[in-house]
Order: sequence, then structure tokens, then C-alpha cells
Amino acid sequence: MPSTDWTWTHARHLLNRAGFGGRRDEITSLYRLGLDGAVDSLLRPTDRRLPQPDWLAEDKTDRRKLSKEEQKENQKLNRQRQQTLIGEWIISMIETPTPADMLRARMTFFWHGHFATSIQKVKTPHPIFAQLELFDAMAVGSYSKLLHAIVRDPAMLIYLDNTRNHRGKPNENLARELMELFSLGPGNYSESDIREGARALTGWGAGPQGFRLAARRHDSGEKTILGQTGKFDADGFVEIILQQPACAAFMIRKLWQYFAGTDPAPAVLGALAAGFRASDYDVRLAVRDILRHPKFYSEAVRGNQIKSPLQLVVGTARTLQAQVNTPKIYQRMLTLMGQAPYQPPNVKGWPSGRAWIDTTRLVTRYTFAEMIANGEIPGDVDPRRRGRRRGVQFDPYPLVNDLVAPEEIIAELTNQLLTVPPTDGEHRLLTKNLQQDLAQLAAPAAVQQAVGNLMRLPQYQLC
Amino acid sequence: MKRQDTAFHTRTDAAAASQHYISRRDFLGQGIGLLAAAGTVPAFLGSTCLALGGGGNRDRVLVVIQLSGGNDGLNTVVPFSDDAYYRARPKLAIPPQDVLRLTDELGLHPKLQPLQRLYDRGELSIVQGIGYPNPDRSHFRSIEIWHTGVADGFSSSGWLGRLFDHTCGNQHLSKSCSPTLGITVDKTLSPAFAGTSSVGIALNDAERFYRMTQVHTRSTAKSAPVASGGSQLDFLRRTALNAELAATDIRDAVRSAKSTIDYPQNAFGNSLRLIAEMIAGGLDTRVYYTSLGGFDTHANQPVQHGRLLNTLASGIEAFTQDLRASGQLNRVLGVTFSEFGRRLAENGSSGTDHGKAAPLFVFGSAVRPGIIGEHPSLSELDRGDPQFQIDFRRVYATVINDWLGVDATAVLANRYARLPLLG
Repeated sequence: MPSTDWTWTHARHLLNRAGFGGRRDEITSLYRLGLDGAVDSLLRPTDRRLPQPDWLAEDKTDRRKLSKEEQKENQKLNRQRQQTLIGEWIISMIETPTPADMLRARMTFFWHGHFATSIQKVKTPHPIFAQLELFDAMAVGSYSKLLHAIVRDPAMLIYLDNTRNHRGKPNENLARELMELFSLGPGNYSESDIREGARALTGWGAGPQGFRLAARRHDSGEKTILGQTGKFDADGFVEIILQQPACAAFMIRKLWQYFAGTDPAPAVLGALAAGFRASDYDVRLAVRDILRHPKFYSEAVRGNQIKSPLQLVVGTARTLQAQVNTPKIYQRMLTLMGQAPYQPPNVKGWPSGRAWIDTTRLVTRYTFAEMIANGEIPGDVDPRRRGRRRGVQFDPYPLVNDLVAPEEIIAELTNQLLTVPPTDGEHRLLTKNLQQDLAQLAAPAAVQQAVGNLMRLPQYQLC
Repeated sequence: MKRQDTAFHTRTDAAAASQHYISRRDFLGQGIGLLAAAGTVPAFLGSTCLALGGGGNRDRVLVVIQLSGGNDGLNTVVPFSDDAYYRARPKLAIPPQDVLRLTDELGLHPKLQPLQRLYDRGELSIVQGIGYPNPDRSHFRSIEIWHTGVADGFSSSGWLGRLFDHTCGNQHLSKSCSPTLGITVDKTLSPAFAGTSSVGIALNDAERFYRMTQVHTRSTAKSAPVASGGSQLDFLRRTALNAELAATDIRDAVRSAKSTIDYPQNAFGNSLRLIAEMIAGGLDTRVYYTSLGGFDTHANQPVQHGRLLNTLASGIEAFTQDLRASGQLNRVLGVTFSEFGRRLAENGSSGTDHGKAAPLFVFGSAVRPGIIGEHPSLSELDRGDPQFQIDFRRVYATVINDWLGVDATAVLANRYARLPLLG
């Protein structure tokens, strides 16, 4: 887009999609950099790492030595550690210091959805954390390296049964998904390619210490995969996949859908895919090209994406700089909205767009708005929990600074928090409600209510 | 007690339908006048999809009860004349004298007395050896197979979601149907409801669900028109209004049909009571879904399993009594299922591990009572498990076709031979 067309609203759009949205000062800083400068700045994250669990250094206990009771305790501990790990991951997304760290977090989650894995099947915390670190480290790195890494990623090998893929007794699960979901898409390989690919993957498994290549279980014979014949192993299979023209197009389509929320036009897809392939699958370049593309700023794209639960929850918490007494509050919301991290509905990851919304999930989104406005989950009145209720707090002052007039406060809030403006009637109602609340409540509480009211607008579900 | 008399429920479908329209229009008139003034009709009010369309059986209701964790089928329907059962389960086998005998070979777990009474009344059918080819012993994968009805590969839609899609058109094209066609009594919607037509409400408590849907009106409902267009915003407004109206309908239905039957005092009993009230309250719902968890009895099975079976059976008995009292029983069919059965041999900690085939129960006054299928052989095992004989999709096909009156082949993408479940 010509640099003269670059506006504050475009910068807000960029931050909504590349990150989880942002505060006025963050949007303005991006705006001042101009389009190219803004996008480049987003691709330079800090060297921040994921929070490291304290159990990482522990010896990995050999389960065979444990009694039944100890095993049960161990399972419980593993589940707790997984949940804690996920909770800390969510908090780290909320506490991203810079917009570039947000983009990195968004890409880390993109890879989690793309290479979907579930704690319902992978029941120990170590492989989950190792996979998360992989996605975090390679968030905007090389896709080809990532694809090679995923066929030796213990969590993936467990999740897609490759630990049971043995010479003479192949299990085709990983071979199929590697092509169908991770790289090429349906229609670009045959059932025979799956069978032969599965042979190439035999013996690539996982043990308590991580990736384990069992040479005895590997089928070292000749295979024919996608027209090529040789004694391929998993890496050879991945190389053949990366040589397919369908691969770049499949990945660019998915990245475009993730950021733009629409399907790319054929010409856009063709050009971006050609660049991606020519760069040997440099994700940083692909993301840069998408975020700089004029079509990414078109009317059809802006304000037209239904926020994923993660965008909604993390974006809200981060923008409001909300504080919680436990991340479980967010985990519960994400679960009810249909996007519990590391619990995708199946290996395909989460369907997006309108699939995020049904009546029940929309009601949960209101519940979340209630929680933000009132500090706790409505109806969360289990007497056993009274006094130590899960709660959330935020200071509304930074959102509105020294504004006092209700009209101005509402205008400022909608400008920062909404991409699609409210109707005149909605705007009037928001203002009227704020006037009434200001008459009855302290100013911060009244503004908090106004934020909650604004979050119940259908517009707040869009970005 | 304000339950409506049974005459209300035996009216013709058309009358019931128009009554429904009137009450919703009334609500519209009072609550969201602007909408009516704007001439836009919310998606599901404009639809004729009060019943499963396309010639379905409009007044019939299916209740699906999921027994989560893998119910031990062998200690549920007990092969008390088979020595192999007693040999494999020295600690866990139900002694012959305790079995509630149904035939010379089979009987029920002693805690299933309420189901025995149902059986004696001719309101219970037992289908044996239910499963699917190449069974998976993972809870996660196995329940996914039951939810989707797809055993080879995965599906993003559930079997009930496809049923709604097939019969209701597609809300995204604004040719929608009532979101209350399917209700899950739980915190979240059953994955079996996943589909494109946005059918399905999840709730545990009608009053609380109503309150939650009303909060947004403070910001929007009365001040913005509900457009019928295809934009994201229109879609969201329609969904919000659907939720609000559905919650109102559900609350009104439940208030009008408060149950007076004693249910067992547990969450499962409460869920069944709520379902009975929604049914008696005249909702347009065709499928209710609820679950009872805890069946993953790897250790100390006897106490836990007995307690669960008692919860299940006494809940179902109260439910059928309730439906009989409200004159609804003849239009309700209940089906239980679990993701898998358990291993024939008990393990070393007085429990059982994940297995394969298991029986399921079908109840209601419309069932053909009795036992369908042979008890799986305990000598011809598949890696320690009794083998499945009846594909679970035959049960789905039967309830879709013969109970709900919808073409099951279209929903299940395959033809499955139906079972003689209905009388």
C-alpha cells in the first residue's frame, strides 16, 4: 500500500492481527514507524523465553518401578504439572512486553494449532513442554526445519501413534497427517504414499528421555513416496514433502487465514507461495509479506475476523493489564469457549471463524465480560470457595487517563477496544449507562462497568 | 406445582407449533419491540424448523446418556451361567445368587434393580456386544469415534450435528432452525452436536442460563436492529438474539412444568429432572444429551461401580416415572452408551482395564422390550477382550430412522442395518 494510505486505524488493525490488540500508546508507536517499519519491528521479538517449570531438572522416574498407588500419585502430579504449564503459558502471552513478543506468541500458538497435540493422549508434562519450546524457538523460523523437528518431537510421536509404528507392523497415523494436515493438504498424495511414508517413519519413537530412534524397528528397505524411490527414513520423507509445490501454497493459505481471517485470492496466494518456496520456507519472510500486503488492509479483511477465544481472553487481559489470583480463571474461560490449549478437538486443531460461535459459547463470552466488569465469575458462589474466590482486577485509569465526560470516555474506549464501531443507538446506550453508573459508583468502578458493557457488544467479538 | 395437563401435550403438532410461535411473538412484542418494528425476524423464529424437517417424526424426543470412562459391561449385564466369567474375575464377578436374572444366562448387576423393574414393565431393551471395528482403547480416541460416528479417520462434525445440519439447512445462509433442537445438560456442548447449523444449547440450570443471556441487553439488544444479512456482525447479532430467546423459552418451559417426582439427589438426577421438565414444558427440542462420569474403574471397582450403576438406574427410573406422570413417556426414547467396555480379566487392584465391546440400554414405553444380540463369547477373545458384534452405528441408524424419522444414510454417510429396537 502507498505509504500515504497508512493510518492509525491501519496500525490498530496490524496490532489486532499480528498480536492480541494493544493499548493506545502501542498503536501510536507502531503507526509512527510507517507500514514497513511497523512490520519489521514486529518481527524483532525480545529474547524472552517461556517460563521454565521447576521440575525440568528432576530425574524422570521410571514408571515400571512404581507401585500402583505411586503410579496413581504420579499421574495426578503429571496432570497438575501440565495444567500449571499451560496456565503459565497463557500468563506469559498476557505479559508479553512488546508487540513483537505478541506476534511471536501468536505464531507459537499457530504452530500448536497446526501441529495439534493433546494432553488427553500425551499424559506427561515433559514432552508437552519440549514441544512448546520448539514452537516458541521456531515461531518465525524455518518451516522446513520445523517439519524435520516435528517427526522427532516426542509429544507428536506419541500423539499420532508413531511410537507404535514398527517395521512389518506399520501405523499410518503420522504419515497421513504429516501430508494431509501438516504440509500438503488432501488431494496431493495417494493412499500408497501414506503406506510407504509410514514405512519411512517406522522406528522413530519416544522414550522417557525424549526422542528415540529404534533401529531394529525401522524399515530400511526401499520405498516409493510421491514418485521418488529410495531407502528413505523420516527425514528423507520430509525432504520429499518439502519438494512438492503444493507445500508452500498449503502453508501460505493457512497463515493467510490465520492473520487475515479470509481465504487469499488466487493471485495473492500464488505470489506469496512462490516467495515462501524461494526462501526455503522462511516463515519470517512469509509473515512479513502477509502483514505488508495491501489486501491484508482491505475492507473485506479489517474488522471481519471473529476473535478466537485466545485472542479474546489474552487480548482483553493484556490490553486491560488485568491481574488474576490464578490463571485457572483464564483456563476455565478458554475451555468453555472451546479453545483449551493443548486440548484441541482433534488432530486437525481448532476450526476458526464462525465455528467459534454458538449460542452457548457466546453466552460464555458474556460471562467473561461480566467477570471483567465485576471482578469475578458471575454465579461463582460455591460456599466452599467463599473468601477465596477466583478474581480478576484491572485499573481502568490508563485506558481513559484524565477524561471525565461520559461521551469522551465512551468514545475513547470504543476507539481503543473496538474495530467495528457501535451503532449510534449502542453508543448512546453505553453513554447513558456510564452516566448512571458514575452517579452511583466511584469513577473507576463505573468505567469498569463501561468496559464490561462494551465487551458485550457483538462488535467486541470482531477484530 | 404448575405442570400443564396432559391434554396440552397430545394436541396436534400444528397446534403445538402455532402455540409456540405465539409465545415467541409475544415475547418479541414485549421484549424487543424494535426488532418487530424493523421487520426483521430473528433467524429461528422465521424458520419452520420446529421439528426435524423433511418429514421427521415431529413430536419425538431422543435422550442420550453418556457413561464416561468406559463402563464395565460384563458386570452390568452379567453372564452368570458362564464359568469363564467367574474364572477371569475371582474378586469382581457378581455371585450368581446376587444377579437380577433376566434369562437363564443373563442378569443385571444387583444395583440395577430399578432397571429390572423397567425391564419387567416392558420399557427396557438391552443391546449386547456393541462396538466398532479395530477398536481403540484410548478414552480420547474412542469417545471421539462415538461422538463423530466415524471410526476410520476423523470428522469435524458429530453424528447429532450432522443430523441437525441435514434436517435444518444452514444458519450461516440464514436458513436456520431453532438452536434448542438439541440441548446438552452439561457445562459445554457435547462434541456429538458439532455441525454447521449452530444447533445446540448447553446448560445446567435454566434460571442461571437465562440470567447470563440477559446481561448483554444492557448494551445492545434493544438498541440495535437484528439484521438478516450475511456479515459477521449480523451473524453475531442473530446468535445473541437466538441465545436470549432460547434461554427465555427454556426458562419458561421449565417454570411451567416443575417436576414433583423425587429424583436421587445427585448431579445426574438433577440433569434428568431438568430434561424431564424441558420435555414436559413443550420445548421444540428433539435431542437431549447428558452424561454420568466415573466409570474408569481401574481400581477398587466394586463399590464405585455399584454406586454409579445405582445412580444411573435410579435416575432413569425416576425420569421415566416423571415422564409417565406428565404424559410424555410415549414420545421419549432414551439410549445409554459408554466409549468402551472393560477387559474380561480383572486386574491386580480389584479393577478392570480398558476393553472393547459392551452392552447398552434403550428405554421408554416405545421400545420393543428384550435383549438384542448374543452375549459376546468369553472364550473367543480379541487380546483379552470380548469382541464386538453390533456396530454402534446400527443403534444410531435405528434411532435416526425409526425413531426420529430421518434418513440415517444421509447422516451417517453409510448404510447400517437397523435393529429391532422399537415395539
